[in-house]
Amino acid sequence: MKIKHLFIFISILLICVACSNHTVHTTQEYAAWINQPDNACKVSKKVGDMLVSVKYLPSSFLALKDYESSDHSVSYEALLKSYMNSVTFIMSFETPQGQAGEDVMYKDLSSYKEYVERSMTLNFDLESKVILNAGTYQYAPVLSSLENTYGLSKGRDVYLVFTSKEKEHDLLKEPVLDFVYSDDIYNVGILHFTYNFQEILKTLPVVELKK
Amino acid sequence: MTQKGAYLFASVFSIALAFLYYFHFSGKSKVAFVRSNELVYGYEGMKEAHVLQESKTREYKSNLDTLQSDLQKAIGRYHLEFPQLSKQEKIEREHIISLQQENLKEYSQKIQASIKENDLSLTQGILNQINSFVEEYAKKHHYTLIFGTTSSGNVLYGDPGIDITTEVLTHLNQNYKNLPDSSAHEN
Repeated sequence: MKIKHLFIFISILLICVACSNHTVHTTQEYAAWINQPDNACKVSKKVGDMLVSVKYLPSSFLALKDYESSDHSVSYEALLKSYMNSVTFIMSFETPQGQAGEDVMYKDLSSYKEYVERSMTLNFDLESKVILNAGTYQYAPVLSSLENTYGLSKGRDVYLVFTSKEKEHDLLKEPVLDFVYSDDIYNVGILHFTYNFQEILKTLPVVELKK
Repeated sequence: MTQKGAYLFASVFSIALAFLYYFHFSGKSKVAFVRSNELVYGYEGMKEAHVLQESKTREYKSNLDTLQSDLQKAIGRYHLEFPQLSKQEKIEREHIISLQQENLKEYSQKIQASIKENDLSLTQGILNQINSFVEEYAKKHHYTLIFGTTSSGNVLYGDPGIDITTEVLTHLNQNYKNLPDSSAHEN
């Protein structure tokens, strides 16, 4: 009888352990979690000699990042609340060789004019090339921002933020989000990056702040 | 040689021959072909690119129509008011109409170039996607060579047994929208 109880207890314990979400304490730990392929936050597509990746950045990650770089005058919870109504992605352009490859800012360019055009497009016009399909709704980014790498990286990252259409539709309740990029910069065509959004939200790690 | 020895020799020889045959053919190059046109036009990426391109063209044409309509209205008004206009007013109105005509011509040329450039870039992107996918597919399924048949006839005949168009297209389309792929291909 005792063995039977022990067996049930161990089984429940194992189920609890299996179901419990991962815990993270720092932005680095959270970033590592996001980059793990099993967590499905990052989707990459290789076309020719370009690698385009799109990563979903959870609200808790963005809040933690802000909290760590702040003087803690604003609480983590307050920061988290400010990110709760939006969905943020980071789109990266690089060559499959990474740092050993070509700088994507100059890749396949033949004149300064083309460089200026590319720079302008990546800085100010990328939002016109991206849409987020959420069920029957389509969202354009409300914010697009190219991260300045100061020549330290051969790739480039662009932050793209989407927010719900007020009262009309809740983006954050959609089961699947389809991030579509229609390229005319690197000859990679139309790329779809699909996320099982609710599944990702269920498995997000728990943030435990360092004391 | 005794009869027993002859049987033994024949058995060893047969086994050796079987091994040689197996090793020779198991390492043989795997070749297949795809019908390029069907692959390209059956690809969801290409279909979506066409839709996108058509919508952009419609948008450009709508802007062009507005400019054309404005110009026609201006010309119509000019003809209607012509008897009442002074010499100076006529010169001014003709100058404005001429500027409108130039703008229309310039815009029309620009949009034609833009449509052509966009179309070229999107099509090239789609072809790059297909090429990259076929390359990965060939590596994953151990093909040494995959031919692409075209109407210009670079492959005159291919046994239907080595025609992999349907399976490549299925996986290509699954990969396009990140649908679960039975062959677990990751591109």
